[in-house]
Amino acid sequence: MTRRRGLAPALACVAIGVAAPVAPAAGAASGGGSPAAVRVGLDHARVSTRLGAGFGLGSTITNVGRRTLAGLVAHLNVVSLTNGVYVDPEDWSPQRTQDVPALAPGQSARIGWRVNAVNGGRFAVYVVTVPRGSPRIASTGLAIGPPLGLRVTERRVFNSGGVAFLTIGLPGLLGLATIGTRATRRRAQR
Amino acid sequence: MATVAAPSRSSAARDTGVVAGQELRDLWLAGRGLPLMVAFSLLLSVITYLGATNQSLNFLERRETVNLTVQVAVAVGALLAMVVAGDAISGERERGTLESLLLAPVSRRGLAAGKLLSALSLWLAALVVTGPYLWFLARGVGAFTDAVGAAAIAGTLVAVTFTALGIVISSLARSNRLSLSVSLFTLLALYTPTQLPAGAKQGWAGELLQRVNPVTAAEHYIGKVVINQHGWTQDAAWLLSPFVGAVALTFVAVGVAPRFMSLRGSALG
Repeated sequence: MTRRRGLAPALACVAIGVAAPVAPAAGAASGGGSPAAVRVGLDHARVSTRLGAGFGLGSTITNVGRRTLAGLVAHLNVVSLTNGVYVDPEDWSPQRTQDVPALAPGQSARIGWRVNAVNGGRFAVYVVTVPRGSPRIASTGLAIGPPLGLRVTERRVFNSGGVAFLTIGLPGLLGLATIGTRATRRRAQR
Repeated sequence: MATVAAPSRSSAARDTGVVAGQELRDLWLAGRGLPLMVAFSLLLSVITYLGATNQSLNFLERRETVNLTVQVAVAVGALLAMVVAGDAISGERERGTLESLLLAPVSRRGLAAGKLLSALSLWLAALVVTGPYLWFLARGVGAFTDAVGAAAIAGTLVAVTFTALGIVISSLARSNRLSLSVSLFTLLALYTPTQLPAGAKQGWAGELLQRVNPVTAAEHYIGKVVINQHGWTQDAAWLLSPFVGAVALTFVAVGVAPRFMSLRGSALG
């Protein structure tokens, strides 16, 4: 009894596991989620910018398969190639996930991204498409584009936005007021 | 009865005015007021400079920098007011000038209230000095009004709480050193929970402690208004403990502690 009870769920799991890749998921890419069915390209291979600046990036998602693809999601990611530089991808782009419209065989869609350079250093920016559906389908249906080489130069400005006038000026004014008050009082006491 | 109570109240107000006027002159024309403000503005200058020259700050982080500046301004402004209040009575006692003050034709309540108002002027000056820094940091993200409003509301409650506490301790302490030590220890003890990791503040016990402690409650309120852009009244419940602290300690400082004001100090030390 014990053996049978343990075997039945195990067999069911195996059956589900085998069936999952071929089971059509709602909204899944009709091409079966094959990586070869989608090609992701970027309109830049290399970008150099300065810290704090933003730039636009275009990606082209092409259906290179034989069937119409629907339900694809494009996702932008940023990876630091400089040691010690932490990347919080949310800071780099306000919208990192976008839906891809349905693509007929041979058809392409252009997805635009806005990227803000929030850290200095070298980075790789890439776009990946994921078919909607079960995790198993998503993991086999990933299509990853070539990385964009991004170099962000840091620019330290002494008087950014006139900050030096404020940070030196206000304590200076208060210091002068202190000296003036003391001097006036000393003169009055004489 | 009414004819007796009215002159008494007006004389208390007159005493408060006389003492506050003299204390304000001593503090701002001859005392530590202006030098303390120079030091305070230098501290805010460093924070503002680091925040402004870091061009990697995004929208959210800019608001966090504004929030940090408000928190520092409230903490240091309240500290300055409390240090002056902590010296108010025990300092006079130690310098041998309390006797002449007690013999002067002013009520002890008026004396305590006048010194309280004078010490609070440091917080008001700190708030005014903080204004330009907040304007500079917040101008790009539209957080100036939020920051100044939150600092004025929550910061004033915290400053009144600590200043009144300083007057109470100073009235009771036998030495100035003891008064300042106890005041600073209390301030640090109440500020310590602000450094706890976020996880430690979760759960009913963590939130209760945060709400009961006037410092953490005020810090929470300021953060919600400045960073999360909540409305002024959305988190007003968090101001309950700073408000209760300010009212209760002011009552004790002006209404109860003067009874124990003596040349030797009463309870502490």
